[in-house]
Amino acid sequence: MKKVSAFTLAVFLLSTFLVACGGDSDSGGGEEDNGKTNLTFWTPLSGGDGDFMKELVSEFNSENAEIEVELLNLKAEEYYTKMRTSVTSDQAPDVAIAHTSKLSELESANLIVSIEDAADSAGVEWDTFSENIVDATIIKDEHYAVPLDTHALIMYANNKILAEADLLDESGQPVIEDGEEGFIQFLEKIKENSPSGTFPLSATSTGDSPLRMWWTFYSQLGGELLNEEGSQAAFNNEQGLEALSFLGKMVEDDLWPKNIANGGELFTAQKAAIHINGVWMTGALENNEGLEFSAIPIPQVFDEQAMWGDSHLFVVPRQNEQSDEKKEASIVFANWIADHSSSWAQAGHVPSKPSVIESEEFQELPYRSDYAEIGEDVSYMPNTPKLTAINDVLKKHFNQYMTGDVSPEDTLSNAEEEVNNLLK
Amino acid sequence: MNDQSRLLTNVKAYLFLAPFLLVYGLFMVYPIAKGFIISLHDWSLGMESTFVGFANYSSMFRDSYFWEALWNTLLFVVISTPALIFVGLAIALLVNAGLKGTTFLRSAFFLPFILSISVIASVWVFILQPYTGLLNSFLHTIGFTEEIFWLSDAKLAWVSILLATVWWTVGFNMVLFLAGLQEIPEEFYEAAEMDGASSWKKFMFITLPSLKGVMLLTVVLQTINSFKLFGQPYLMTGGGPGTETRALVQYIYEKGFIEQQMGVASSMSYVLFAITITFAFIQFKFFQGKD
Repeated sequence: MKKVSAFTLAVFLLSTFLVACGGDSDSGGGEEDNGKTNLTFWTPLSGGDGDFMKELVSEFNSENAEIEVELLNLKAEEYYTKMRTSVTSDQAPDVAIAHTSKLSELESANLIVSIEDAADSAGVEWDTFSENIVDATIIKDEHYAVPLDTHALIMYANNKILAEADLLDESGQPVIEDGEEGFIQFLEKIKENSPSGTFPLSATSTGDSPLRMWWTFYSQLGGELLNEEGSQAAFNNEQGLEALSFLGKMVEDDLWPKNIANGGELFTAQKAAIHINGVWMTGALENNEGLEFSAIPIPQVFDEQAMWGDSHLFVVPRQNEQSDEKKEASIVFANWIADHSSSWAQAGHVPSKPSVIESEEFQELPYRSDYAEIGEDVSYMPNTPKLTAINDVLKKHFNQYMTGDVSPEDTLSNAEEEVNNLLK
Repeated sequence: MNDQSRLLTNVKAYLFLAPFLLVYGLFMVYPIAKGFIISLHDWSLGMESTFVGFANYSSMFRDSYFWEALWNTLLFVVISTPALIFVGLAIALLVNAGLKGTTFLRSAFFLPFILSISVIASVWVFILQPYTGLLNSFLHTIGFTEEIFWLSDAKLAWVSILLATVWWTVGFNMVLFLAGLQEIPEEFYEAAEMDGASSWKKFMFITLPSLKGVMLLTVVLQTINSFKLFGQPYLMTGGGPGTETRALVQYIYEKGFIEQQMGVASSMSYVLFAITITFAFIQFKFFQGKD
């Protein structure tokens, strides 16, 4: 009797386990009884961005009678890996957020599909978008994304510190003379006229920040990252060196003190006069009472106005059996969000459609309209499948350069060699 | 009858083992085998893969960043393992001495271990970051004006990582040693007392030899853990300045998930696997040989 019961127990345990493993595979989405087209939508948004998007999606759902969008927000760090695995296992969402800087990588890995036809049938008019922003999302003459915004590097200034150094004009905007000299003198003047311990410029010295600043000034000098075929590095040149040395000079003169771990924190604590960061800082900074600041485009230091930037885009991930109906619905949704993105701008981003920028709702937002013009000047990094890896190489070398251990010449030639190896 | 009942017993045993074996096979044995197969291919998620033989291994051995990351990892293992064993034992002895407030001390030493690496890294970055960090601010108030870059200077960055690791994980070693210490019969010490042995002698000839089993376990576990170094440098220094504190696991992660070269990443994982196994094996032999 005992044996039998033990045996039964064992079988029972095993079978429960197997049943549990088998799982329930019928729980996927698809058209449900409510007669609407159901879309799954993935985003990698954190903090405020995520909340604004959630609001927009529920607004869309309540306004639109035919499409129902289900939002899933994933961790940014693992987002693109998840996207890859979801496409590989044919469980990709119907529509997803991606970045311009990742678009080429997604396209070359067959993870997303062209939206050329779907955009036509959904009635998207590409000329309602800022041309500069849309152009960066075209690969091999085909549209692969509906852009939502641009988020570029801009300059934040502490108005109190600048007022004490007599560097504000009547409208409360920083007064900066033209050119390299002008910018350096501006920082020098801050240094002379502010209490000791004040950072004239506080940008983070590690991570993405040095690369983005270098790209800003290198683009102002008209530089290109790669040759025309995208097969070789093209940044180890006079302009690349000039842009990098410009960063180095600010560090050397102690205008941008060495090894800053968190530039935003210093600026928030009112210890820094100038802070260079992405537009997303606006939302965070305006929550600090007592911090009087202005947000303006990075000044044109060299030949032409340009700054580093990226965009949030809507893309359509690849699925094995993709109905045109769902694709079209995805684009209708994307276009609707882009049309209603003035609330998205609360996060600091600049909307992709000039009509949204001109809208009253956007113009009423503080700070944003002071830098909304950057949409025209943003310099995107080129569309190449290896961009993430190339950026990692550049970041590594520029971060080391910022510690002052390597010469700018060596930095560029080492980075060039590694980038060329990557492109082989 | 006898055979039959043995058969029944075996079947029952395997049925009970089945859930474990299934999970173990699915999530340990299969990935290990699959990893080796991937390491022989040019492989990236969602793309066609091509068989390349040992090309990934040969390109890996020619990659100076691989050697740097491997060296960084080995350096960390060689320094952190003895440090963590020594400090862990010292704390265990302290806690075991029966002083007042021992319960508090024991929890205090163990507490960091239950925190996740992201919390640990945030705490240490908060303490060590330049200009505004706790430590540098303190140094400034006592009149030390120079700015010390704890996380941006290669040598200091390693010291910081080591410090954070000890603070984070030493509690676990302490608990292991503590368990070992409490198993030593009190009589041994009493007998030694009667023979007039000093505390040092008691430690050398009673405590240490009795801890041999625990010591082996701790050394092996610690070595393996130190080889797996990833979170501390990744979150505290980003592997920087440059790549000076990048450990092998971080490089594997970057190769696999950023550069999408799963093949190369798998071959590096296999090298790490082989080295770790070898170390563990040597340690077992070494400790057994002393019996």
